[in-house]
Amino acid sequence: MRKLVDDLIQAKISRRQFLAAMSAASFTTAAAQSVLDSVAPLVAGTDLPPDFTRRVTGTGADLMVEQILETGAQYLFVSNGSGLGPICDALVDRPQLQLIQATHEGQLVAIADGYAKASGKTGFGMFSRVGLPHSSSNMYNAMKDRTPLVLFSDHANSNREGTDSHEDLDDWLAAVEPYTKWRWVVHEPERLPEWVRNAYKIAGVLPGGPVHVRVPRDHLYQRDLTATVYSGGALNIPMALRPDAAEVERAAKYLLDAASPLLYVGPEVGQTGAGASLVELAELLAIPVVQHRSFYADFPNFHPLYLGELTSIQGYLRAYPVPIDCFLNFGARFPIGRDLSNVAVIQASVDGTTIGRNTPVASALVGHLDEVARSLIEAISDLATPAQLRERSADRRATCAAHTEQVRAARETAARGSRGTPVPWQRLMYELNRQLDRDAVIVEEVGTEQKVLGFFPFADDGMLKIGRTEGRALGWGVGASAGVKLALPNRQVVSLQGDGGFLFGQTDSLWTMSRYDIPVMTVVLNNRSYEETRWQILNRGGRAGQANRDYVSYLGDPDVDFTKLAAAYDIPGAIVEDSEALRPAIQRGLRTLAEGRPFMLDVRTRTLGAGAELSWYPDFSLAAERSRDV
Amino acid sequence: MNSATLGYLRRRLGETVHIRSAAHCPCLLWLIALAIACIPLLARSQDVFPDSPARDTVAVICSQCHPLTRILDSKLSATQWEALLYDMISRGATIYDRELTLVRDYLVENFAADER
Repeated sequence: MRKLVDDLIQAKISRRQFLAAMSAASFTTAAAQSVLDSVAPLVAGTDLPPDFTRRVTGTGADLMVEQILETGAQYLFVSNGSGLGPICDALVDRPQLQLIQATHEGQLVAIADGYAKASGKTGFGMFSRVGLPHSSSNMYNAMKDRTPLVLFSDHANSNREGTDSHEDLDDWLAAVEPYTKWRWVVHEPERLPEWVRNAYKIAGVLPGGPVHVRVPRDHLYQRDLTATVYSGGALNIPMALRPDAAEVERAAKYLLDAASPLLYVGPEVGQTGAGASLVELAELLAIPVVQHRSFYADFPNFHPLYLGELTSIQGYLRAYPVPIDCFLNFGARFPIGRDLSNVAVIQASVDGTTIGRNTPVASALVGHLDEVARSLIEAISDLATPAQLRERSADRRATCAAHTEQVRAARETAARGSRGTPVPWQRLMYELNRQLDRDAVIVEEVGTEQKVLGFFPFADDGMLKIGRTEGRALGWGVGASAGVKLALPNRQVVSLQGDGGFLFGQTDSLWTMSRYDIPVMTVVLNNRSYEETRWQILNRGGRAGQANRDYVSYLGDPDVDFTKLAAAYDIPGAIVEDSEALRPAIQRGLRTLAEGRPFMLDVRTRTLGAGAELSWYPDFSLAAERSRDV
Repeated sequence: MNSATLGYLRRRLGETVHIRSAAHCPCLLWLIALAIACIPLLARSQDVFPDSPARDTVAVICSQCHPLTRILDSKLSATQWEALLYDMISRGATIYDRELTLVRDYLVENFAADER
């Protein structure tokens, strides 16, 4: 019956022919008429654009690729697998979908993730069915960040499912349920375009997230399938929802009445493009701003109202000793580790399930954050005149500006005064900032975001920060930087990595950068240590700390030369051991990028704090244990 | 430790917004517990934190993210203290430019290791 309805809607058969066919299929006249009546609105006088849909005939892979192309996808991020054979066949006549190959599924997902975060588009990927476990680490990261990704794989042939056969499990989807917004195994190849649309829609609607779709290989190879493919216009629906007007007015009053409001920003601001309106809101009432952990800089970090991360509040309260009495959370997911029981909390988010989940709120603003910010600006402007607003906020504005200016000056003094061998990491940041373009992109995976937020001026019209992921599973940044560069080919892209983070399987992304001439400068802050892990373990004061034993953090043996790793992929590099050598090395790297090639900068950085002097680790030599020299 | 500084720290206990975890600092201690721990510590530390015009400033600035015992437990050279201070500032310790020399000189003068 579905085909009959489809043919009727497509005007391939008349109503009379439809009724005759239903009758021949043993439906009663009443039943046939009822079905006809239900689809009538779709048949009579439908005024759709002529290219809204089209019929496509081909293999399952042909149908799948046709629908992917309709989303506007430019890249398909893949890794090797024979299950991609039918896709390869489909691409022979569809060169407009560019394959970008990775040598590891986890790096494939990282590349797609970086691409999606930088472009604002959904990233599409496909890997071998047995590659799912490899992919899951960065799938987890993408889910924590709510990054829109559609990740396909092949699947066991449809006549082998459920038999625990070769390269198969009975239930793959259960393994990735926590890491995906949606997951599916296709069982009807003619519905492949429908599942692509479903996946694309679910991944992209805020809050987004990765989806995983598995397609039995025989379905991908199956020939002479016909299905409807929808044009891109049918798939993109404006989702700029406005918040409830009464709630907006309530929130506006809280903000106006507050003696010491605070604006707390999180990644939804960047995801919804609400940066400019949020700056306007903050400036309207001179609300100081604190940045939550985020893979974006959600507020210009060199703005006079920008305090820093959470711990910066204490310093601000030294200058403006009025306790915080109104906390406006814009796009950050609680909990944030604070007791806000005596504070008026306003939370704004596109995700209603997040609001009030961990912290009771006085006002809940559900909607697209740009719309929420604009609504608040409008409501506040209706409640007070510009002169009243200026007078109300004058003292706080001046105090905050003076405070942040002095803090930035101290940070610059500290950075400029940091020098020597090994290189102080802050000197590296300082020198990079002086040399990079004003619209460069920093893709970072180096510990706390403050290491980057303190040195590079991020803003909508300035530099862009991407990273770290909220998930914090290491092994994301190098691949992500390749994806970022694909999304933003005309901006300098620098990947900042710790040596420990780089060694979490990220060398594979150098292969991708080299193959496709993706000019990214990867900078490894090489202090031969998982520094923050070392601090946390040793400062705990447990037995290991008391014995001054660093069991898991020392990385100096073997002492990795990252330029040699890069050279294995035909990527040039330089080692920097003294701060005086930073500038020429960075310049050499930027020249290499300009020439169209990636570059590796291995900077031997200083480590400080608990255990800095330690090089002990639990020694063991298997060679010494042998009884035969083999 | 003068009464104004102690009062500041006590007010921090009573203020409406408390930090329960130093989520963005390299250490794990909660600021409330930190502040509670610091008050008796600071109250009796007037001997181990030598008196000086800079002492209160050092106590306030250096307790933003970690306990003051870190200072007591450290014996660093002048060069190392400066390097550590610059590192802390770069990681987000809120200090004013005009306070930087004051804090550095206090740490070096009172907690420096013997550089012989």
